[in-house]
Amino acid sequence: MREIFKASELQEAFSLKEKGAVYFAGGSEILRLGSSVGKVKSLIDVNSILSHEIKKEGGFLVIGAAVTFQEILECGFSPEWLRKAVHLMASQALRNQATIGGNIACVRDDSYLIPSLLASGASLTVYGTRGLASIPLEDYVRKGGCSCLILSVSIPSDVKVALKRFSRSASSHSALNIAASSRGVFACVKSSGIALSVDELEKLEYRDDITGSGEYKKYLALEEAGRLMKEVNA
Amino acid sequence: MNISFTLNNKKVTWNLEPDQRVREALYAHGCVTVRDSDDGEGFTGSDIIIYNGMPRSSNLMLCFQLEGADVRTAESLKKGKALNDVQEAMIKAGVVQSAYNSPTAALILTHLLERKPDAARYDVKEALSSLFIRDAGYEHFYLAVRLVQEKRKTGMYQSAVSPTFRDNLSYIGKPMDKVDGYALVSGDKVFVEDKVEPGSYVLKVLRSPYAMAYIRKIDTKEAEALEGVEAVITHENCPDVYYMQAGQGNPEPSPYDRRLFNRKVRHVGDRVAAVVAKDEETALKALSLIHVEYEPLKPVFTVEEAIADGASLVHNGKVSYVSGAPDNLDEYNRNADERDGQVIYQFPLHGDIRHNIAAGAHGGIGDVEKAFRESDAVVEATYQTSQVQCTPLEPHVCYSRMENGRLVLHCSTQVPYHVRRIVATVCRIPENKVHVIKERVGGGYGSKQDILVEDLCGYATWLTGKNIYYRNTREEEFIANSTRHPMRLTVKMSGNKDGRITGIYMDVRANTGPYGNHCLTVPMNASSKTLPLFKVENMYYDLTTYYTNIPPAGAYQGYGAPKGYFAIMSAMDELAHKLGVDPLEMALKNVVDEGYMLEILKGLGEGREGTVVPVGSCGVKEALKKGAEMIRWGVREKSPDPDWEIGKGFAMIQQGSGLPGLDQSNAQCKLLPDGSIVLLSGGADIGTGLDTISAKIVCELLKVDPSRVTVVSGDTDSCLFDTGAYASSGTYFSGNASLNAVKDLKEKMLAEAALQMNEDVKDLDVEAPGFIVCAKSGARLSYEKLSHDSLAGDGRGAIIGTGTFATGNSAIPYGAHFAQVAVNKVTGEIRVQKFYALQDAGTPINPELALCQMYGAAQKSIGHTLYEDMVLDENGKCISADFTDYGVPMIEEAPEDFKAVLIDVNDQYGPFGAKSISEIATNGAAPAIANAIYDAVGARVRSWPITPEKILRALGKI
Ligand SMILES: Cc1cc2nc3c(=O)[nH]c(=O)nc-3n(C[C@H](O)[C@H](O)[C@H](O)COP(=O)(O)OP(=O)(O)OC[C@H]3O[C@@H](n4cnc5c(N)ncnc54)[C@H](O)[C@@H]3O)c2cc1C
Ligand code: FES
Repeated sequence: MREIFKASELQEAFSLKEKGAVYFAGGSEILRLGSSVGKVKSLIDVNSILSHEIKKEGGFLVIGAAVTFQEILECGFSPEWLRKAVHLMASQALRNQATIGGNIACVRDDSYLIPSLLASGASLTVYGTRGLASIPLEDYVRKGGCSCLILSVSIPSDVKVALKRFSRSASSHSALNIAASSRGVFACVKSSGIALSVDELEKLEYRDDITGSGEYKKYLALEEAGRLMKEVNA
Repeated sequence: MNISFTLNNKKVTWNLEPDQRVREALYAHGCVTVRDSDDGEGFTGSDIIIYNGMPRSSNLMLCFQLEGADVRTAESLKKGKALNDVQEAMIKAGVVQSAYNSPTAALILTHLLERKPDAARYDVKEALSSLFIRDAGYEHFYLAVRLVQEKRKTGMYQSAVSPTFRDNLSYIGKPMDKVDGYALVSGDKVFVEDKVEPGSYVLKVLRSPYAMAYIRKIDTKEAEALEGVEAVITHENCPDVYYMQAGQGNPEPSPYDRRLFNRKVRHVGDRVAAVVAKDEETALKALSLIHVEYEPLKPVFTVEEAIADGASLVHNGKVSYVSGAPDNLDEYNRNADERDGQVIYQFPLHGDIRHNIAAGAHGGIGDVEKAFRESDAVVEATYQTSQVQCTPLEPHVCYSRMENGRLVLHCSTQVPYHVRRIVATVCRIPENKVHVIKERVGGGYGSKQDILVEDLCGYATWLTGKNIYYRNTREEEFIANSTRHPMRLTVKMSGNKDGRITGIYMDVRANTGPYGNHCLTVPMNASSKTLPLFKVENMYYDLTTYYTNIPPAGAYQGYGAPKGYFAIMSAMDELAHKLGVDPLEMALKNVVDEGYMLEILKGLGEGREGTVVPVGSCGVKEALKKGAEMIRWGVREKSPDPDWEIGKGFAMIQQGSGLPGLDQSNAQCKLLPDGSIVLLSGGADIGTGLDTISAKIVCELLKVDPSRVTVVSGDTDSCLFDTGAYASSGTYFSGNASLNAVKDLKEKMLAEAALQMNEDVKDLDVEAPGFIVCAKSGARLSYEKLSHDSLAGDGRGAIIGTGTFATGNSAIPYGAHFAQVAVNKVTGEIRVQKFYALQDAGTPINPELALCQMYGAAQKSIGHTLYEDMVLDENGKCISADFTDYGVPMIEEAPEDFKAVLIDVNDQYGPFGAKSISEIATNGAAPAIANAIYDAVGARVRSWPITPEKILRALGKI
């Protein structure tokens, strides 16, 4: 039997997390067959303490961590590239469930959103040991996530992002999910890691898996990096 | 914990565990439409509900999330007994086929149309993006939505759901609500899982972690001692009965090479032990308490490894033959290993297990070598197909129980009578002790032609006397089930500059895996369903099937034909290019015509000599010509993006309709006391509309309304024997048996009427809506009175018609599939822009269902061509044993422009001129797409799946 805590305060949620429980947002990762966190004994339902709102603040689009992929898709002021990014999750029922916070926190090497959000220069507002803090997404990804609770994602409004995902079918995991902007190229390469620049992309150790050989992924990553940069600069 | 929420507009408070899956809770409380097809993977959508106004996967939610929520399930759709308009339109459009998730589809579309009454194609695609449809494809779901919109606006449907055929007939060739459509779309309790009674025991199987090993020791004491465990079955205590699991006519052309449990395990996932326990938790615990000591052996996975000198032998037991044993058998068995058990051939299949050969065959006509020497060009290439799985939404299930000393099995099967025979054999009891009830089948596609779970579940009940439910997990569906045999096919083909093909040679090497289910018949189809399409005088094939340690292979819609067509139609394309001839012209020049004598059939009998017959009704040329016109063959399409190139390809195809000379079907048709009619068919309707065919035959011949006809089928107690729903036999065999039964009934009704009316029988005929009329006197007698009086105290008895169908005649369906693809030269990506499936199914008795069969089968074969793949690691463990990793095609993968076209041909042997429809539709995609890719970018990929990576390699980019 799993214990379920309904968190009513950020600190309460964070303390439980420090004790080994897992934040439960959409639950699409936690509950899916073969989940990496599927066996944890305690869940912290964070839905009532997280924002479900998308708003414009200054030059930023601020998306509450509990906003779902579908809400982003349907929101009138989501930029086109972000809509395209959330639509990479092909299943509408999953999009109704999966949250942006949950997606980032998974830091998966086939992540739907991380490459595009990195390219956009997004930053996160998190709650952790030192209370509220803001952190560039890049730093969060570099350390492979942490125990902090993601509260929101801030995305510069005027950024232009080009992106592309390569997978055998729309619903299978991606060999490569890659995005570019004037900030550079960012990519998730299955079984191989997350690259935060073309340089890192070149140096990545590309591994074989069911999505394709390392050689294929490397070819694709470098070809597409060039093409996306051209698209951004056009 | 008490949880209160709104369910289908009613407030409910249920006592639930907060961390229980919502799906389980809903199903347990009677919402049976909320089904599970993927063990909580969140992929197939069978578990979708509307949660707070949004479609969500109920398997991916916990019950604490229900508190205060608003939940709708498909149970909310009907008003009283009336279906809602979406459900009605789905039946009309023909998409309610095996229907495991049809109610869910109706729920999703109802919700869509509430939010967006004018939903366009894009919206429907988005709404169905979470739903895996394997049987009917997605195309007619768009039609169903359009029908709803039309009816809401104008009060009636405007769009035709299909063309109609045979103007002189009222029901045959016209769309009509499928007889089980109402039950299926509304979510009646019609599947095996719905029949399981509370308190039933569960069966779980311990599976081998090794690809090949001897079981040295197995200790089950701890497991047996666990409270709640009823039995533990292993190779040490199971019946010493050899059999095999393919549901084929008896005697089978497959070796008996297994028992329920074997001392030697032969694939990762092979059965090691089974536990019968009071619940799943106890059963799983008991499995963990079974201690097994294995002696691992070096496995073989590919045909090449199986052939290699010194290769481990998958079977090295004693071989025997029921008939036709070779003289040197004792010598052959001298070094047999007792631990390997036995291999019993019913008759010789050219097997040689000491070389890992399960079966072999060869034959042909003319002189191929001479043809190759004397032709303008010869091509030779090897094509490899992969291991793919049927993936029915409803996995393999069985519910078995004892009743009055008999074993009753509720099954999801294509072959109820083979289930009865094999379970009786395993339990060593006569067939009268076994009652098989085929429930509605939530997807079969060949895998339910094999008795993969009923053998064990039935035996476990016979042993323990308990009600037992068994259900494969999705992983077990992949690793311990039946799959398409991977094959390596080498084709050598020669031709002349005038476009004539002069010789064809096929070398087929098939991989049957650990057991020999279908080891002859499936691979044989690679040649026997392809070579007879060619008007070529020199043709020869060699076939060898090898045992290996991959997950088991078996039947899959199309048998070996999709693989044979991939090879032979790709080779023809290669030859045409080499000769500088248009492939379409080559096809038209070399394809058979009606009346052409098929000499090649002599060498293509399944283990026996075949009979030479002429080609019967044949619409292949029309399909080729029409398809070419539709796709603008010969016109090069220009892509707006310079990285993408567009190409076209096609394949001509055929299949069979059952197995003439081997299959038999039977039916009975009874007039009830009030003049309504029950038809008892041995045929197994697996969602494709076979029962509807039988019903239409009754309506057509006896001129009654469908509401006065009921079809009962696949119940071995009440219905007569039928070989089953495989090899495309349904319409031709079971349909003809129904036709014969109804004819017989009609004859008897007229004879009885003649006596009752005092008229001459030759003046009598039937008239709508259920009368016997006399042409001479004008007298009329209702069926009701006819039946009532025949059943009265002074009557002559019940009026029953019986029909049998067995034949030597073939009714072969033909067709042509065309594809237009766009290929990215830089990334290797492939998009199927257009796919046109044109088929001659004779008279399509259910035209709207036939179209959906074609869409479904073509989409399945697009799947095996481009996406699907069971990948094994170096130890033989399948590492793509879920839907996401395996890669089934969803709505997003459906061709942008997808058309199914029925070519109108009337067959001389089929019921009302009908032939088979669905298997053939799996044959075209692989070669059509492969040839189109070559046409687009010059990359020839000769192995499944054709991935972007393989294209890039063929282009020399990596
Ligand atoms: C069939 C299927 C295929 C999938 N394929 C992919 C894929 O290809 N790529 C991909 O990226 N994802 C995939 N997913 C996983 C998942 O659906 C998404 O990553 C989703 O965005 C996770 O969001 P969630 O809210 O459902 O997360 P949850 O399941 O609630 O949580 C996931 C993880 O994130 C943590 N978490 C959640 N919210 C927060 C927060 N606010 N702050 C900190 N930590 C948090 C949780 O503790 C947990 O460890 C797939 C899921 C399914 C069912
Ligand atoms: S510790 Fe800084 S983001 Fe978590």
